[in-house]
Amino acid sequence: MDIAQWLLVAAGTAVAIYLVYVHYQASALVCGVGDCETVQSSRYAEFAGIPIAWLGLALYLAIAALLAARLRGLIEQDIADVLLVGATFAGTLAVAYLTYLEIWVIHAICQWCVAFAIITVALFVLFAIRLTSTFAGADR
Amino acid sequence: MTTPSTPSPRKKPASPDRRSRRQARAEEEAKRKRQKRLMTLLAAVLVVAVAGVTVFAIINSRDESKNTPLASPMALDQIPRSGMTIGATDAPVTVIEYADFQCPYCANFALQLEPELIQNYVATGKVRFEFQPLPIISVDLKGKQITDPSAESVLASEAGFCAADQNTFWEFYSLLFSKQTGEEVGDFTLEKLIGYAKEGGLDVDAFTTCMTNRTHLQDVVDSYQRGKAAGVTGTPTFFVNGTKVLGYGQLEQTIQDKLNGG
Repeated sequence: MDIAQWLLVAAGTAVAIYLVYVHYQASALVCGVGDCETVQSSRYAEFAGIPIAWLGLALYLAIAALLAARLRGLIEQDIADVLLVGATFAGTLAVAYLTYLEIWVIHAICQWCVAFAIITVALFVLFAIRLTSTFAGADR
Repeated sequence: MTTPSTPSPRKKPASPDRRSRRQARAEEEAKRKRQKRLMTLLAAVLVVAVAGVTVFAIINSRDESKNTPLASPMALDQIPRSGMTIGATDAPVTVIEYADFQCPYCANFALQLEPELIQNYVATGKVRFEFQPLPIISVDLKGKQITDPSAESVLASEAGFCAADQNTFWEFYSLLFSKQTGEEVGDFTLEKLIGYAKEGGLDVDAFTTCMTNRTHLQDVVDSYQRGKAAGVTGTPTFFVNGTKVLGYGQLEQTIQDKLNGG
């Protein structure tokens, strides 16, 4: 599980960095499937003037910081587990909303956004499973 | 009287069994408390997550700034124009835009990027820009007939033609996009469009006659069919000297390439 979580966090961070980069450098956008340009250039690509991609990157940096703090014992493990579930739950809700916008409002799908959504949901599932066993341990 | 440190002769020391049972109970109690604390923290974190994302979604959908034209509007007065076309007739590059007035990213382009393109390329004689309405949201996405009087994309397109009759298309174009808040939500009803014409300083009587007679319905149908024949499946789609560009991320680069002989 430890390796899987770090791999997913690395992948999510990489996708978020790429999305931030192409927000400012549209010509670097590579889109094999879907219509990334339309999504990236839509008015929903920004929130209160901040590119959504920055929010995604902030989420992954927060997750990485929590994981590192948990690993080094700077935060109690079970509390870190709860916070990680909370962060990825918020991420899951946000990507669900953004995917809804892509399908029903913008009418275009961005493959990078879909990849980001899948990674976020996978991390949420992973952390939720770990939290369940944390609770089971506390219950015994 | 015995001193406190002296054990009572009646009191026997706790047996190892009793001690471990007491310890186990204490541990169990500590675990229960810890679990309760974690559950409370989890509930709080989940509530904060739901509230945060809900606020994000509400602000995102209501962000008025998304529909506000730029502070410096397009300086159109000095640029030659005709109907829905703007720019010098001998400009080396022609950009044809297929768009729907209900399409949010068309509005984003029209209000945020296009004024800069007009200033840098059209006003300088490098590009001629032509608009073709494509009422794809009412017709393709909402499944309405193109002649349906409630099809707002069609009505807005007709309004564009009626404004073009008064040689005010480009000002009206920006105004219409700034009024967009959703799809088929009543932004572009006949009454609303007449109100926008008034707001935009058009000849309201001529505009109203043009709209109620559906003078340009056939022009909208023709434009829609041209777009379909050209393979346009989403808006905005641009043709830069015939090269198709979907979305506007690559539009300026394509214009540059064409100007450089590409």
